[in-house]
Amino acid sequence: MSTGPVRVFLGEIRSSQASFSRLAKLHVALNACLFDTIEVDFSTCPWFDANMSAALGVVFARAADNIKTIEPARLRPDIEKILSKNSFLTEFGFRKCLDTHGTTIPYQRFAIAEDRNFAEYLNSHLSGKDLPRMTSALSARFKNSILEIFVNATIHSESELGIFACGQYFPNKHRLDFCVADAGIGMRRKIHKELELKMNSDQAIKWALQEGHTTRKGSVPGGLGLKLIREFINVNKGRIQIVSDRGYWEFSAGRETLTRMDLGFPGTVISIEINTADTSSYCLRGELKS
Amino acid sequence: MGDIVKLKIFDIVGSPVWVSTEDGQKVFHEITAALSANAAVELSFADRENLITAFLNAAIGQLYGGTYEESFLKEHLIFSDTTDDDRAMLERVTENAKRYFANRQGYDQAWQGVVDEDEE
Repeated sequence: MSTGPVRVFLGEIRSSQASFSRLAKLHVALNACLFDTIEVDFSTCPWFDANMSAALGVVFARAADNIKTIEPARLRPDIEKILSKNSFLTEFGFRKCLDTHGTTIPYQRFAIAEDRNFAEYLNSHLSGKDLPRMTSALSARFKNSILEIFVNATIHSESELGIFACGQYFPNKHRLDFCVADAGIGMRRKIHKELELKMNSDQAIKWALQEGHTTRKGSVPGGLGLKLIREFINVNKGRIQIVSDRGYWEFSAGRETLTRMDLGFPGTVISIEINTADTSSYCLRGELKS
Repeated sequence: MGDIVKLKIFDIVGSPVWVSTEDGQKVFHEITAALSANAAVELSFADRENLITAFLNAAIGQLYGGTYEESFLKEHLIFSDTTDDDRAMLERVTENAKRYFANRQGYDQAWQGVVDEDEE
């Protein structure tokens, strides 16, 4: 069918369960649409956490893979500026906007085999002049955490559309948020496919968080990366969120939330937020040095 | 024990970025080739920029899969040019590997059948 564009609205997007649910709903709406061109209307979006561009990138990529043309429209000037600064909008014909405050780790899409390119992207953007001055221990743990998440996605996601990444520094809050999202089969289906274990999306996330648990077959052990990230986030007083299909898990301030969303996100997202003012010295043995 | 073979991860991987399982696998093969030739291995961590557990699980963790006794590995595999963080990560990876290979079946038993109809 080839007709004029149809309009779908996007609400406020923050690093929250409500916003992930909103993106899942958007995914369903885009894929149910019979029109070739779909206008995503941002006029009802008063705030967009820039790191969430990675998750939105998955939703848009899934729609494009379903032979839809996506046209972001009616963005408020401040939202357009944020999403132009981090390069999210450039593939939709918007002009790149200079990041004068240096608070952005740009939106980028990587192929599964691009682990070295991803490491170079992180090395380049996290050791630059613009981002907050963190202790070297904090910077190293943050970088390693993001790398673990990315490599896990390359091993487990089966995402043919690639892996999407984006970060944002919020200077007033001393917070740095980073999101890695894939358009793959999700934890629940992967666990079922590889191990024939059937469980709900929320339980699948819980399963994946257990030390030693991995869907990898053969002789290479796994299941350590997420545990180390959680230990790090706990000491740093940051936050980690995992969304996979309908599952949602969050760990923040020593508390866990595990639930199921009404609709499924088309892949897996891991979002971490760190407290950049943290001066702790980290030790991988699991103890805080000072 | 025969000669000591010095292996440099940087030379095997060809990059200071040590993150992928595939690159870890290359290091694993070099180590096992040397051990099979009855040599001991000194594995150098010099010149690394990035190192994560996904890489070390393949390079080092799978050595604990049963072919070699832990005591044999203690005698025949030493690490050099490591930082405190490298040594701590190696410790976590080897402990995780030992647990993983000891309990692999048991890990999955308790997780059967917790699916609702709407997620079939």
